[in-house]
Amino acid sequence: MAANAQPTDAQPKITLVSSDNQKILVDRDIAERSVLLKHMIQDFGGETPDQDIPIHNVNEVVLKKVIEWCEHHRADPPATAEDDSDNRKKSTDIEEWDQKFMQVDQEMLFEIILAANYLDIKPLLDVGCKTVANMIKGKSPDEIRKTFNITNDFTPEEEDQIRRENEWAEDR
Amino acid sequence: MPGAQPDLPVELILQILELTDSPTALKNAALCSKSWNTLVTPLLYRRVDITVEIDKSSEYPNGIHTLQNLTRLFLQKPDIAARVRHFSLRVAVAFRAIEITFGTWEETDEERERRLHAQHSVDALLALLLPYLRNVVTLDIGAPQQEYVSNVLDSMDQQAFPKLHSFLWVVDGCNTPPLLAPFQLPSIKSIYYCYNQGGHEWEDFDLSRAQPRSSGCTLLELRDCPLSPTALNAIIQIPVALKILVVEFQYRRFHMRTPPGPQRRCDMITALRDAIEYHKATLEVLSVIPTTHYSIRSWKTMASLRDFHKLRHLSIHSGVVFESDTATSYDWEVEAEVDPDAYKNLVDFLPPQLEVLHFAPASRYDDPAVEIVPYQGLQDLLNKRAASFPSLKRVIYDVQKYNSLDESTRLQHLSELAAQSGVAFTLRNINLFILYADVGHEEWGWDTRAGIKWRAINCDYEGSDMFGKYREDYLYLGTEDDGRGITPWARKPGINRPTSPDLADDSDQPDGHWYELGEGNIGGHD
Repeated sequence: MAANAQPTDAQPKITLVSSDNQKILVDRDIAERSVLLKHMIQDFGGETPDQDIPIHNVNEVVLKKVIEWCEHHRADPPATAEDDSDNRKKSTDIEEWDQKFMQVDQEMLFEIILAANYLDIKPLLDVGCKTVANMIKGKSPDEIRKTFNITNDFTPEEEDQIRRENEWAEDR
Repeated sequence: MPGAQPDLPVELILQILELTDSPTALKNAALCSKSWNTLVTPLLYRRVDITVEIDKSSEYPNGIHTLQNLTRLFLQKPDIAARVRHFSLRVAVAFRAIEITFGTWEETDEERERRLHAQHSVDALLALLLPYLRNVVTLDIGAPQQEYVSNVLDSMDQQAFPKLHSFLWVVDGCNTPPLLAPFQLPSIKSIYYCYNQGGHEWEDFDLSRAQPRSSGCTLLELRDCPLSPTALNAIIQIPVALKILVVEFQYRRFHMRTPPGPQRRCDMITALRDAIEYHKATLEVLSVIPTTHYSIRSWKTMASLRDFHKLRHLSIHSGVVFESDTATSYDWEVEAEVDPDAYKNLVDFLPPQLEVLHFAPASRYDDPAVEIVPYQGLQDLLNKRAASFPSLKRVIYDVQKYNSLDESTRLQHLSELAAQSGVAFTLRNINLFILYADVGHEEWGWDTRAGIKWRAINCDYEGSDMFGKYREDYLYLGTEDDGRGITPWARKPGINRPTSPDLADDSDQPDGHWYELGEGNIGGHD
């Protein structure tokens, strides 16, 4: 993208407004890490919009956190279509900076995931999902239920039956 | 509400679960609730790896009942079975495969009966379950008794496994395994056959069923398979165009020192060479290595592979390259007659575009005169690398733990020469292959692009991993590219004692199996 090639100090700025009505000024290329925002900016005919962009679903604290991530990853090459499908699937490896970034309480973690999903920031969504995937590892069914607010609607007999069927599954 | 945790929508939960590579985690997630069960079950059943510990009773996990429950599930809910893309089954053995197949002298009648019964049950259950795996892409089966399974495979038609891409079969307990049927499956690309030690010898299959150049299979591995030369030749000719061929010659028939051993070796090599001629234009990887003892004399040389224009990786025994002995002088005591120019054969043998050469030399059991030829050959190759083998980037040289001082000096020299010519040089310890032949089966193929992680042939009971912990340590002796040269004997203290429990503790070292160059340690074994 041409915008990315510009030096940082010459970056046009964009004003985002969080759900709790806080204005946050960000460089355009950072905002464009979000596919949603990028498309919105394109709708302005490629010009940097001078009006505020409201982000209805994300509050200030979470939005700032998301922007922090985008800032660190502003120079990342854009993901290609093949990247999404296979490469990312299996691996739960997370790079060190992202690991540290994700060391937040669970509420915040879920908020980041929801924001990344809403703003359409695939790599951030990925890191968030991988972090949760790693969290599930080693948890008992009860602990997983607590993590995700799940109500157990199985009868003990049904639970037993499923336990038996899936007994083969074990980590190796 | 402060502190309230947001609920993630289903599609995000699904995305998270898809990233979970832990079967245990998925198993636990499937127990959370009905809706989670619906989400998780298809993910959990994408990949089924099951281990059966056949002499364990039903109070233990992984007993025969585990397989019974899985089979019942597949029969009752075929849609779950249809989710399976990868399926593998192993029967865990307490110590070695041979004991589970033949039993041991200590085994009581009751134990024997229970074991045989369990073996038959695994066979029957597997035969029931297999046809339900309609969408399986990679299939990996190994069990000590496979009569029913072999019938299922023999009777399958084109519709049986329409998506099966890779098939690994540890063939055991059937006299005439239906080796040919999988070649005709519509999507088949890779076939791996392994004969498990302790099984029955195979009878020859019906060669009239082996249609030459009729299969889309591009990778074929035949490990330890007791095939006749004619059968070997026929089976290699079934694929239209092979890219990868691994033939690990069968131990018992191939390694006999007395007739018909040597004659058989010659016939096998001839049969193999004739067959690969048909894949001359496509073959990229070729491995012709005996399973265990490399110390065999009386090999037969093979015609040069110079015209194999795609060949980039070659693993080969030096006996196939050098005329070290005649086929008839199987007498161990007779000294070999070695042509002083024999070493020159190596550079004539190899195609100019070769990238990796894995060379298994004759070992210390042979005459020094024979032993030196592969060394001279490699020296010659490295000297001519720049002019004649510009793509050569790696040489792997098999050695044994117990070497002579002479050999130490020679290896050191080779290593230096390799470094000078920009070739990575790896020394691989094969000593353990003799003690534990199974180690050789750890690595399957070179088809890393497929990303399949095949399981080792023999599973150990949990907690009693006889080999796993130091298996890796013994595979490699030397080092490459570290600029410090090599000293295969400079091992960490304790590493020479395979029975020592503490030797597995290499966790502080990033690479447990590469050894440091140390002074004062040269000089070989105790």
